[in-house]
Amino acid sequence: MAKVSLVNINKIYENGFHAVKGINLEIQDKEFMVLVGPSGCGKTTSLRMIAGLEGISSGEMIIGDQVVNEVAPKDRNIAMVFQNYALYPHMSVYDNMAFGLKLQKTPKDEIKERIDKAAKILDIEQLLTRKPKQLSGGQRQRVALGRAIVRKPEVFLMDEPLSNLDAKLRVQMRAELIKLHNSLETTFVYVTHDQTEAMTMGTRICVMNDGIIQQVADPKTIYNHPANMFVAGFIGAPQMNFFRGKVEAAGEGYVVNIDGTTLPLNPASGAKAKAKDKLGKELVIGVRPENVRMSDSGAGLKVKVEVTELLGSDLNVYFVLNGKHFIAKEDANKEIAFNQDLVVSFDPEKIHLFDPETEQSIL
Amino acid sequence: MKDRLKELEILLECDIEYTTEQSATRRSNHTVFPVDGHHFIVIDRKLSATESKLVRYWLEKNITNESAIILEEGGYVQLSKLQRFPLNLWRVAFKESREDVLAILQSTFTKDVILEVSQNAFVILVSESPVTPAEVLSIIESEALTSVHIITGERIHHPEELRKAYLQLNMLYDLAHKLKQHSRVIRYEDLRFPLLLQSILKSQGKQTPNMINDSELEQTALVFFDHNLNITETAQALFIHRNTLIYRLNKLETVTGYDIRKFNDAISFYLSYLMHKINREIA
Repeated sequence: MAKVSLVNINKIYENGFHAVKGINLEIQDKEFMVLVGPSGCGKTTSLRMIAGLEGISSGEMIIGDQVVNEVAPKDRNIAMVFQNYALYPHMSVYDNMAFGLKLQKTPKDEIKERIDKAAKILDIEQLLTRKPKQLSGGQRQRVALGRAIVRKPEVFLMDEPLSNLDAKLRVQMRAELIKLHNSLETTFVYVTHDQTEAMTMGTRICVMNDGIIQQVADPKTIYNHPANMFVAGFIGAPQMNFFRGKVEAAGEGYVVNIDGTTLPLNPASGAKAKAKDKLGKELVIGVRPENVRMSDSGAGLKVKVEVTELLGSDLNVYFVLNGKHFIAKEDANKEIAFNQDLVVSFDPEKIHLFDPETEQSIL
Repeated sequence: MKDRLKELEILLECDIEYTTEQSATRRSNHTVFPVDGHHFIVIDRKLSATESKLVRYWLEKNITNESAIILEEGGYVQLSKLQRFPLNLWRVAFKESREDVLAILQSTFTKDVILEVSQNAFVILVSESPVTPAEVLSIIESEALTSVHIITGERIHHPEELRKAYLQLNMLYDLAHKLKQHSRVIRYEDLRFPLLLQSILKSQGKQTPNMINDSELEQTALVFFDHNLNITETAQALFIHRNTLIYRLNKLETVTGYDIRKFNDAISFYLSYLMHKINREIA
């Protein structure tokens, strides 16, 4: 078992492209760490640097207690699972799982023991004699995982392993991977661009953009207390609405003022804005769609409905305010029509405030 | 010699014995070739004239591995007569774990010839691949734990094209390096157009079209092309709002005069872009 530490890690390619910019990340032993971000953010490069498949331009990579910068990938005691979970087409499932161990010159008895154990964990014991073409997509992915498990690695490195599966299977495999992590009690580092995968699977999430770590925290903290506008916008679907406005004192409390309309803000957030000398100054006000409410009192922002999307349990309401587009998540039973005029307000406890220059949260 | 003969066995699909015994040379239905004054190689069946030529060529030229047959003018023709056409050449380059990589390739391409072209690269003559290049890459990287690049060449139909196809792999690598620096799978299909353009530019001298000097706009345009001019998909891939994308496309139009939402403008812009990139390298 091992923890993984990335200390001031940089990756600069020959052409000068700076893919990873001095990141620091400590992945605890037995943790399920998810690296998430849009394409080109440096997450896969970081994973490949942990594996040793990509060289490090500067910084220190530590696995367990050992600096592994100069250690060959095969001596790092890691296993990798990729999106393209190809199996040897002419070999049985058993032989597919045994192949890597044979390369390592593992004794036959031990190979059998490890495969039987992995097959049991993955519930593929009955598939061991089959050829890959006789397996479904999900079963093949399990065999690919089995190939990694039998190596008995200290760290599993997974690069978008579910991306090739259809939506239903992906949801199922998500749960399987969480169970697998619990039963193996090993460190998992998992790369994805899918924020839902990150939220549902990670013990902690590392959000990356443009080669820089934006925030590392548990899923709840990432969702409820995003460090900046990028994290706030990337995590959560539909994504957070951003309004331009100000925080103002109002009596003993505080309000947000958007285009002359004031809406209540919780006192703690107002106090933080005041402490940072942001009262009356232009800010970005972030509100998640589920925290936008249809106002019963008639007080709030006057908006026009553009589109509604019924998702079964929820209703997404797209609306326009001063020519800009926003979204609210409502109860599916609400009757809201196209082009309807609405008045909306926000849950005062769930308003996020960001500095428009630095885009950092001021809460 | 024994290792080399294994490769010859795969190539000819036969069993070969390497011996000093004179008696072995008198076996019926076998083909015997003297190697030197003391050694013989004995093949367990009668060979065709082409196959015999190949073996003689092999011995006379003192070729150290099969790849040399391709690299040596003339020799590749002998080898190629034994191959099934059409086929593609795949070049698999790796950093370390040579033996493991070879074992993986032999297990994946059971019917195809695998040639060692350098200490860190194999070329496979792929008739019909059971797996995609990206899948081979991930098998090798996850099993042998070494970083890999794969280049797949143009599909060839005649033996005479084999050497050219082999040389084209290096050209593809260089071109990909100029255009898509981080791709670990380089496919001829993806570079057909730039390859053509490169040959035209080389034959006609250099021209430098006006290009944007804005990496954000350049990246936006390339992702837009990758997503077949689809606004929604491009915005998702870039993680920007579609209005931001539209703003950038408008800006690109202002700067370059090309509205790349239109097919004709898109192709003109893309041509200019490629010419600019390739020219820079030629210069």
